[in-house]
Amino acid sequence: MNYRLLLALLSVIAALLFIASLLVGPANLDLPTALAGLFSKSNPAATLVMCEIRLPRAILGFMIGATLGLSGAVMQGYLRNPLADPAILGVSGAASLGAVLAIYTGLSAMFPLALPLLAISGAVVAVLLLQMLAGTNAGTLTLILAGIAITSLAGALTSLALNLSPNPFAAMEMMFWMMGSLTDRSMQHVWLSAPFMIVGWAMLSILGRALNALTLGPQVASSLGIRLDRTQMLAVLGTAASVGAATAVAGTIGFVGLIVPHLLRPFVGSEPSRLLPASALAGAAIVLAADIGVRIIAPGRDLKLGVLTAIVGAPFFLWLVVKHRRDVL
Amino acid sequence: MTALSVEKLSAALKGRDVLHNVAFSVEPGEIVGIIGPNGAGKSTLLRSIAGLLPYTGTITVSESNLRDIGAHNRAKLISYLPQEREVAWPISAVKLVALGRTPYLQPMSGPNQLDDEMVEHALAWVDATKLRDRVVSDLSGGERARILIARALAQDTPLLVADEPTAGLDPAHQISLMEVFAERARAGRTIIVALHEIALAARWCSRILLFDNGRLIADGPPKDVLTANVFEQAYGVRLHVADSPDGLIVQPVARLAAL
Repeated sequence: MNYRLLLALLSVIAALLFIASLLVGPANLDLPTALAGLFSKSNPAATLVMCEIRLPRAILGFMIGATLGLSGAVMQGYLRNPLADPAILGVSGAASLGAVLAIYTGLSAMFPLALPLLAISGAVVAVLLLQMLAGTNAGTLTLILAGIAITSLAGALTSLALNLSPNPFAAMEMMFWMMGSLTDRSMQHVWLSAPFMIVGWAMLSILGRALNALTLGPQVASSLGIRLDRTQMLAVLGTAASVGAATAVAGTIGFVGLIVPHLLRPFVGSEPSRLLPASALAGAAIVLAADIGVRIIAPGRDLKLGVLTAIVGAPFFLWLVVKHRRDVL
Repeated sequence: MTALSVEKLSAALKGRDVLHNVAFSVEPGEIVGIIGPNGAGKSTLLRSIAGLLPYTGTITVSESNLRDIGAHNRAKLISYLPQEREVAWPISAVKLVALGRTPYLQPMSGPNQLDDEMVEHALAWVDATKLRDRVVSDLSGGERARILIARALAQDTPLLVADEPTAGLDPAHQISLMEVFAERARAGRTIIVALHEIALAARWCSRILLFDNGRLIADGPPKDVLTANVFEQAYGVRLHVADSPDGLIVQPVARLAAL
């Protein structure tokens, strides 16, 4: 398929899903009311629903999906491994730990933004630890090992917080938060996370040429004038900033960053640089679609977004494994 | 003007000294064959010259100290073809060859007409024009090797450093690759090529550097270096040497007893 056509198609799909996301919800607004709520102040109730509830949800869905798709494509390209995903660096695990600690200590009850702020702090600590462990030019294997170590440590500490949680409600709140959701997010969450995500995107999106060259391995990439230390720094910091912020406001939404680049790779001739914008748009579309899905499938039951992506994503991944085996044999 | 000059070069890999005090210099238009037994330091030498390894001593490329050339400018002076034929993604052959044009791309823009022409030339040089739209992971080992060589040729640098580019190629493509190198050398390019096929080195290289245990032990035209005496010492094999209308013919024929 023509590359520009593919990007245009994905943009249209993402835009339509963004609009659909604004129109779906328990308030059951019809289209004119929804539009009036969004663009005028004539109906205060509709304005409240649209601008305070649905708009931030749709914006976050788009941005978080784009973050997961883009960072997944960068991680797979940088590590030259189709099984890499944005969580591989341990940043999401550390951000989750920060959020869990905010609930554990009761800070999140006193001050709502304490949760995303602590989660972002968790991500920052993870990056510092990662740089300390893996250095600036230690190679991809060290980076993966460091990421696994950080993920394990954050997971253990999260379990500890659950284990020692002051009461069952706090434990349940932590569990639910970790499942990943966009329900009841406000514009404050958007303002808090958007700068990190945008800075992260800026770092990741200039890596296309370096990732292309890395197709031939680090030695050849270096001989083609690619600075490996700079590439690693941008890939790590860009992923950490965008994924850390995404996890901080929405919890862990799995499988999107792993599967979206896989899905798109055949359509872009496997070229890593072309995969970046395509994955970002497709990631946004998939998260928006899944977030519409949770509202339609089980209205009123608060089905978690991360649960849905995992339930759809895992079988899809199985299918990829079967397909891969068929291709190899 | 000297294409490449190496002085007092030493290099270590993981704390083990691999190259000791190597010195030589190469004029433009030479095809220099690097030969030597396994573990002699050939690959380390080539990677040092390509600026990919730390080293002590001085390497001068096109009159500039290798240490002072930034990565970006270095990529316009030296192309490097590793022994490993690693391709991470199933991209098309023409896209792979086009990666050789990376150093010349302007920020935020794709390849220009010159880039596209170089890519087509490079494909033609390795006899792979009809493979251009094939996916590299579907190609045979030899075909993929030729595409990777085309990538290095498309980089169009004064100095080409190639680590065993002929390994795994059939005789026709081995010879045609050496012909391409000869043609590039006539155009003023300098080729440094590590070879295990002594016969190819004898026939096509203008000069041979023989390494053993990280030391340069012989340096000169093929007929001076590829002698029975030198080979007994370095490789522990008996060498059959003959002059023919096609040039120097050498063939290792038997292993000496004490190895």
